Amino acid sequence: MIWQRVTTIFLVCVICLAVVGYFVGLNHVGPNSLSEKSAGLPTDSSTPHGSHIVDDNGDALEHPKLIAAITYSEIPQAAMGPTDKFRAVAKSLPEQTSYDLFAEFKPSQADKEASGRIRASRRAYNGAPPIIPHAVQSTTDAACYACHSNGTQMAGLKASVMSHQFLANCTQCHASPPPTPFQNIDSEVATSFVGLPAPHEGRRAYPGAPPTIPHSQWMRENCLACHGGPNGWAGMESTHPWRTNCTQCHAPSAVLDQAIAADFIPMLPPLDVVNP
Amino acid sequence: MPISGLVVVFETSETLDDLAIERLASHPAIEVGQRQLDRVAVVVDSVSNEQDIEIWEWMRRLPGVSDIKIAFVGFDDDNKQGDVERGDTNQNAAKQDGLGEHCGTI
Amino acid sequence: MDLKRRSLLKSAAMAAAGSLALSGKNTALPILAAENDLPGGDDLTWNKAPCRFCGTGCHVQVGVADGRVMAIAGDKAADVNKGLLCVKGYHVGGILYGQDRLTKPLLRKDGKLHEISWDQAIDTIAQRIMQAPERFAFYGSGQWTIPEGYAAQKFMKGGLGNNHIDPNARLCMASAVTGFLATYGVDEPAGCYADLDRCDVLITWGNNPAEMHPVLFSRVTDRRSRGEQVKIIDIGTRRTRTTDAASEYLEMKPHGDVAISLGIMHLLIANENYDKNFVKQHCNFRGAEADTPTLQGEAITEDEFRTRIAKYTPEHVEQLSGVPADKIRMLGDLFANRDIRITSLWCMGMNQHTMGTAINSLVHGVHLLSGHFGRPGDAPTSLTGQPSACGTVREVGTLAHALPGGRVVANAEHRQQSEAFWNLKPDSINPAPGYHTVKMFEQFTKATAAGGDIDTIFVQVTNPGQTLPNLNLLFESKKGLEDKFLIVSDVYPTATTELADLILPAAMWVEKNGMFGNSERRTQQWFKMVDPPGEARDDCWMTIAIAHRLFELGHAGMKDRDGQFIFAVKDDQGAEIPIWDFEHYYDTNVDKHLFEEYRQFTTMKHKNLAPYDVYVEARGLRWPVVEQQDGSWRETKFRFSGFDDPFVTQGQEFEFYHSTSGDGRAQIWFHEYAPPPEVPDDEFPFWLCTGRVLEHWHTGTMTRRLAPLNRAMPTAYVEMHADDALELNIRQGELVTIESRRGTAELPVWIDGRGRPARGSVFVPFFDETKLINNCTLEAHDPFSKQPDYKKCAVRITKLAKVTS
Repeated sequence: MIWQRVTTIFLVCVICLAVVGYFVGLNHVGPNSLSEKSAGLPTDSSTPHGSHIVDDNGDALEHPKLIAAITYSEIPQAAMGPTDKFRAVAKSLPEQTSYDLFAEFKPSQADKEASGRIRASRRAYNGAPPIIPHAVQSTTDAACYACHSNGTQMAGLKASVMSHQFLANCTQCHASPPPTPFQNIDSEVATSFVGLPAPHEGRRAYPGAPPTIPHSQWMRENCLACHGGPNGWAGMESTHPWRTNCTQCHAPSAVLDQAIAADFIPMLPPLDVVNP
Repeated sequence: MPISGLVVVFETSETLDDLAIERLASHPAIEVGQRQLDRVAVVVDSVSNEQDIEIWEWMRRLPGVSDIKIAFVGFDDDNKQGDVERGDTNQNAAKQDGLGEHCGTI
Repeated sequence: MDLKRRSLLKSAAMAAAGSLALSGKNTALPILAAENDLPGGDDLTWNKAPCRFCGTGCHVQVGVADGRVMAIAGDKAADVNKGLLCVKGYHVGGILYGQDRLTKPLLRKDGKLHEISWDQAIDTIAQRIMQAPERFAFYGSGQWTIPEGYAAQKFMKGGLGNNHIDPNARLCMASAVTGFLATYGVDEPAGCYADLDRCDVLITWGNNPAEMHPVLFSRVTDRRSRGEQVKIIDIGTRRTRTTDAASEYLEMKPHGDVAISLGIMHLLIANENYDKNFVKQHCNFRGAEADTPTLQGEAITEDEFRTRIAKYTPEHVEQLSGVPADKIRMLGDLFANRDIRITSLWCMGMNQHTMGTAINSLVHGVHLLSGHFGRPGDAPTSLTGQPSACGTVREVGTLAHALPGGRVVANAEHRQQSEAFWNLKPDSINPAPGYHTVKMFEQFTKATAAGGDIDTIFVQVTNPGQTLPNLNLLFESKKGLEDKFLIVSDVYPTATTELADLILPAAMWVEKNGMFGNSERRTQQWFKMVDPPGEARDDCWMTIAIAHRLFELGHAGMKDRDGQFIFAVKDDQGAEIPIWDFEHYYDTNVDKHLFEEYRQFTTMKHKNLAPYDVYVEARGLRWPVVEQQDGSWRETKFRFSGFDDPFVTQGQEFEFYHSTSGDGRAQIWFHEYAPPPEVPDDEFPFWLCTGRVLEHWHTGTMTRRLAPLNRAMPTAYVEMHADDALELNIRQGELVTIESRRGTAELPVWIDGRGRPARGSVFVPFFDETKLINNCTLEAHDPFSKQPDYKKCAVRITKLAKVTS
């Protein structure tokens, strides 16, 4: 009986100490700067995440397998993942899936719907520049361009292809995710805005006719960004990828492309035929 | 034996009347909670995944119901390894993937 | 199965579902909930409108279906943005659809808001004005459309004979106005955005266009991606996204810009490599009078100028500004090179400055002295932050001292001209300038017994409860003053409606007809496309309805010389259209009537405007717009330059035809450097700078209701240098208190965030109504422009834990 109580008290003390220790540890360590120190590629072994063994003379010896211990409070900011040694060596991207231009393709309706849902969740209306769905730390466009110029696939994720020409300020139009320190702040808004949904398909003059392009081509000049190539959208691919001149058959919309819009098609007056 | 916390959203606050609440409450596996304008919180405690899907479909077909939102899902299966619990944070993640609603839980 | 665990799970499930149900939030994205029968792109009706946000003046195409805005596209036909927009512009359509839109007039009785009818609301206002017209003030903004501002201006200065009308632009670009007036004798930039396509060097003076005017900035950086060479020099107090793109970053101390511009001029003079020909033909030198300085100043000789500027050697400038002497020499050499073209850009950094008029004049002086003026690409260009700061405030003159078309109330001739255009009885207009913004709110928040002689303020299209400096003094102290009455017309609940006694629901943007004027003298027009929600109505209608109620009550000022209502609009048969009755407001195009009346005012200062219908066809036109012999209307890109400006005398290369010295010359000013009014000390050791971020516009009332933007920037923050944070033991994301001598604000810390301030300084954006940084800012202002300095004051940062314990 008494032993049970003593054990309980002892355990309570241990837990309390652990909790106090945790918070004291958090409070008494300053900020871990995200500045240049940790941002660049490590070039020598003296970077904060380097791993060292100290020999008898006090000189640091590098040991590639050792990772320096850090405090709890540093964990959220600490660079996890590969060691400095690994990161210091240039890597090539994993081999990209090959794309057979001449293979006939049968897009699946389920894929198309799934792709459509993902796309819709990332833009306020069809035609709006999509928001950036992943964390971004770099503000240079080169970082965006590295993956999004031709698209890439890695670790089950896909970087989509830029559908427009290179423009010099990506975040001017593409809204970034919340800054890391504020990512848990509730950013919901109450709105009744309903955006233009993505079109299901273009119009066909008759069954079998090539459908018209149901969206604006402005900022979507590169059809293959979505409708083909190895990094396009599942279910939205062209069934005939070997035909590479899309507008040869698919007519764009003058209204949506903001071409000179005429309310009626100007024509010469009808022929004046005199009946005998 | 899944347990889910759901929000049943009605078309308007008028369609969410006492009759609608009674209908929901009449199901033995459903427990009705707080109610606000056009929505009401429910907990579904079902014996199997199959029953869970049945209840989901049943609720969707109730008159006036426009949407069902998932707030919480707990799989509590003795035979399988451990529990998977989904709370608000997971829901946000799911939403970012654009898979918002039926994220395979029911 | 563990029953306890099951019931625990069940209660957790109930708690989660309950909180989701109670929060009422729509977690499903609206587009996912959309039905399949929604229209496709081809079913939308598209129409042009200028963007609702900043002063850049991009045009958007607005896609409307079923009476709702459903999509936005950059307007490819618009010269300003050439089909591009920024993240705010693409989402501008959503600003109409926040779920808390104000839809009914609300009157506060015994501390509670009650719905009332529009008739009651208009009558309440009219009765208060009738009681004491001279104690009424009208506070508007650079978001007033041109016709709205013009109606307010005519109502106040013409109708009530009351000059207490001022806009929030006083807090925004008043120093730019005084800088232009002191230098050229007439307001607004001589160049235009085409300069950005031609310049070899772009200098941003305390300016972050990469975030604040992104469409203009990417117009320059996109040139680089096409292989052109453009050098960008960023002079600032913190590193920003503009710095990321800059070739040179010159970090200065606050007020360092004054020293830098003096240093450049010193070098040009000392090295004798200024543009002697240009200066000899087109410039005079000016200095401030010793006893009572005026905006005109006094003429000084070139020798006197040389003597005064002699002490601003690069080394002395380095001491004052913190920018190395070599870099000052680099700038001096750049300006001395006539083979390159240099464009300067500035906005709030130079305007929100206790030496605002001085620094604006000095930067114009640098360009004039070096001859980097008036050729495409050679331009000192001031940007504006509001869509019609230029069009409505500066041109219509909705300032306490001004009349339309560059006139001032103090000038008898100007008053007579205005009375003639308005067909008013002589001496209707009061010659004494009214209260400027800071003074207006000082008098409003001061008890009547203590001399507070403004007792009613009507606020339209702005949010002073968040933007005034030193909010505790200038706004919050209204609480408890029973006889003071605050009327606010707005679209959403704001920091200002918190204290409002009467709230009026307003129509916004494409819910009404409108006209804006952007930073490059471009006047733009759009038509109403959708109906406002509930009982929301046009601001212009409110002004006219109040005027008409006063007319009915027998206020003499609401009658013109012939006894007609001052806003009378007649149909083709000569019958009056009752536009004061909202049912009939859209029976005619009131905007067009007001604009055609206003046009008469614009020729005096050669800011000629074209007829309304010409703007309907255009994506905006830059004034002066002059009719050609063939009946077409020609806009002007480069003012004062003989090759483009129709008002320059034939054969002249340049002519400053509104010169304050009356000889067709611009003034190169000398101003002595003066330190900022409040400098950090032991007690308040940090500089505080405030400003904006890319995603949110001004007080965030619109952009914080747009999901993609609020996701990107959900909260205001305080940006700190990592070493300062380390010293104060502050962690990333930690809440701190910022405290100045005037007030406090609580904010989370962002160390080395999007901007990186210098050590010893912090930056806070002002968009977040839950974290009012203007509790801390200083109301000290420029002596000429009366524009307060939001960019520097002294604060201390305290960990919140210490404050509360």
